[in-house]
Amino acid sequence: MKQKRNLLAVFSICIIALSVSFLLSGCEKKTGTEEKLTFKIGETLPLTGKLGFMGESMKEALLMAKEEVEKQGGLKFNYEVIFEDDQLDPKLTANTVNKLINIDKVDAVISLDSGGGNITSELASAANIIHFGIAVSPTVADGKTNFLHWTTPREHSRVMIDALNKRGLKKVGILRSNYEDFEVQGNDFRDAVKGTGIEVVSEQVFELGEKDFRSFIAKMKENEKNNKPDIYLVLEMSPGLEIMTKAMMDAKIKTDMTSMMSFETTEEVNLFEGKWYVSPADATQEFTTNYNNKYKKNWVICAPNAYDVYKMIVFAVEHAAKSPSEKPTTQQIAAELFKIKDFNASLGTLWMDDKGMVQSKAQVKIVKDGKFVPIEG
Amino acid sequence: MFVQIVINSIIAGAIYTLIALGFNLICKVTRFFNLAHGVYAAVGGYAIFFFYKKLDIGLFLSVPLGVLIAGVTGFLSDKLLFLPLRKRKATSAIMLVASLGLFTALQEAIPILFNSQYKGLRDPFKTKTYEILGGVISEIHILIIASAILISAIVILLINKTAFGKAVKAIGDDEEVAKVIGIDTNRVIGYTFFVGAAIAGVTGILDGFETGLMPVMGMYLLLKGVIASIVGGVGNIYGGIMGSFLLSFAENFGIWKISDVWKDSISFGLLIVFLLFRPRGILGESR
Repeated sequence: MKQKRNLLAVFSICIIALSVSFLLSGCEKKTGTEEKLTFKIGETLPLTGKLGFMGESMKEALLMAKEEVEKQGGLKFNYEVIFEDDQLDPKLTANTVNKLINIDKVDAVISLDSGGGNITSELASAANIIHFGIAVSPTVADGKTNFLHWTTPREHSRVMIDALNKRGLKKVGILRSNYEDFEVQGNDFRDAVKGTGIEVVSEQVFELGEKDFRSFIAKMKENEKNNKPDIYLVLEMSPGLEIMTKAMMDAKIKTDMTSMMSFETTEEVNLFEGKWYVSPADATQEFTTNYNNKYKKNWVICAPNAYDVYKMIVFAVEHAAKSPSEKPTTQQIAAELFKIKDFNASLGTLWMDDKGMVQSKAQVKIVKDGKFVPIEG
Repeated sequence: MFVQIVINSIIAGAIYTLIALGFNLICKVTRFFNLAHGVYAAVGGYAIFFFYKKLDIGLFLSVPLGVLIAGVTGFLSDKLLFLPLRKRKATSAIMLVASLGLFTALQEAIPILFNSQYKGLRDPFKTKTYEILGGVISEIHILIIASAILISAIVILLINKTAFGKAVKAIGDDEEVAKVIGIDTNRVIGYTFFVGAAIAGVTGILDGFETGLMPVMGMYLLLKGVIASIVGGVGNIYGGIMGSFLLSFAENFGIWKISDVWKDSISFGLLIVFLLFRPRGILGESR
C-alpha cells in the first residue's frame, strides 16, 4: 500500500514537472518575439576530441557573427543556432547531421572538413536544405544547394608554386596524413606543378592520428639518400604536426619544411619560427580585434570561415524572403547565395562562383616572433 | 636503416611494456579488462603538465607527484567503483562496461580542465641525440628504455619476493581461497590498482615528454597495452613484456617497405592471429 502511494507521488510529480516545462516553453516563445518565424541553422563540428579547440573557436566566431547581425536589427526572422559535436569523425557527422535535420528540423546546416562535408552534402540535398561546408574538397559543393567556403586547393597550390620558384626550390617532398583534405590538397599540388619546373620527388603518407613517427622518419632519411628534396611540404595539423616535427628534430633531419594551412593549428609556434608557408585567406584586423576583445584569445583556423558562413546565410535568407510571414524556400536562398559578389566578410571581400564555392585568396606568411605574419600575396 | 628500425622497435616495445605491466597486474587480480587503464596514463601526463608547466615546480618533484596522482586515481577508481561492483558480484562484462564509462568520464574531464589543444612537455631544441651504429636515439628514448627495464625489474621482484606479491598471485589463482587463508583481498586489490595505475602514470609522463599530451592519448596507449597483453598472455607479467616487443617489432618491421598507414592493420592483424590460433597468448595458461 505504501509502495503504491510512493509510486503515485512520483508519477504525479513527473506529470506536474512536464506540464510546467510545456507551459514555460510556450511562454518563452511568446515573450517579445511572437511575430517572427525562426530560421534554424545547425552546425556539426568538433567540440571535443583532438580538434575540439578548433571547433570551440568556430562556435565562438559564429556566435559573435550572430550577435553582430542581431545588433544591426531589421531582421525578418529570428535565427537559432544549434551545435552538435561530431569530433571531426565522419561516422559521427552522419549521426549529428541526421539529428539536426530530422529532430531539430534545421533550415540550413554547416559542416567542417571534406569527410563530414561530403556526408552532409548528401543528407542536406536529400532533405532539401541549404548546406555550407568549410572544407578543401570541391565535391562538398556538388549540387545546387551545397556551398563551400574555403580557399580552393588550386589557389593554395598556385601561391605555393610561386613561392617555391621565388626561392629557387625545385624539389619537393610531400609528407601528409591520409586525412581527406590533405589528400585532396596533395593531389592538387602534384597536378598543379606539372610544367612549372618544380618536381615532387617523394610522397610519404601516414595514418591520421599517428603518434609514433620514428620509423616514418627513418624511411624519410633513407629516401633522402636517393633523391633529397630541397624542402618538405607538410600537410598535417595539430597534434600530428608537432609530434612529427619533434621526431624530425630528434632524428636531425636538416631539410627545411613548409606547409599549406597547417602551421596555424599549433600552439607550439616556436617549433616553426622562421618558416614560411601558404595560408588560406586571412582574417581582417577588425575581425581579429573583435574576437580577441570578446574572447580574450586568438582565433583558430576556420573560425573566420564559420563567421562568414553564418552572415552569408542570414544575408541570403533575408534577401530571398518576400515577407516575414513566410520563410523563403531552399531554392530561393540558394539563388541569393549564388548572387553573392563583393561581400564584406572577415576574410576580406568574397564572391561566389557558379559552382557554389566562395572565392578567396591564399597568401604566403612567415612565423616571426611567434606570430603568423603575411609576407606575400 | 635496419639499425634504426631495431632501435625504434625497442623504444616502442619499452612503452608498450610499461602500459602492459600495469594492465596485466590489475587484470591478474580482478580478472577483467580495465579499460580505464589508458586514462590513468593521461592523468599522469596531465598531472605533470600541471605541476611542471603551470605551477613551475621542478621535475624532481613534479614527476613523483604526477605518478602519485595517477596511482591515487587508480586506487580511488577501485574503492569507489570496482569494489562496490565486486561486492554485488557483478560479472566481468559489467565491470568492463563500468571501466569504459570511467575511461570516458575522465577523458572528457581533461579538455574541460586543460583545454583540448596539444601540449608539449619538452623543448626539442634542447634534446640531445646520440648515434649508435648508424642509428639515432635521443635522451628521452634512452630514459624510456631505462624506465621500462627498471620498472619491469621492480614489478617482478615485487611479485616474486614480497608478501604483497604472493598475495597478488594467490588472488590471481583463486580469490575465494585467498580470502579463506586470511588475505584481505579488497585491500590487496586496491593497492594493486594503485601500483598498476602509477605505472600507467609513468607511461603517460614518458609518452608526454616524447610526443606531447592530448586528451585522447590514453586510448592509443590502452590499445597497445591490451594487444601486447593478449599476445603475451593476459595477466602474465613476463608475457606482457614479450607481447610488447613482439608487437613493436612486428609493427616497425612490417612497415619497413610499405606505407605507414598499414601499422594499425599489422597490430590488429597480430591480435587476430593470436586470438584465432593461440588465444591464451605466448605465456598464458591454457584453460
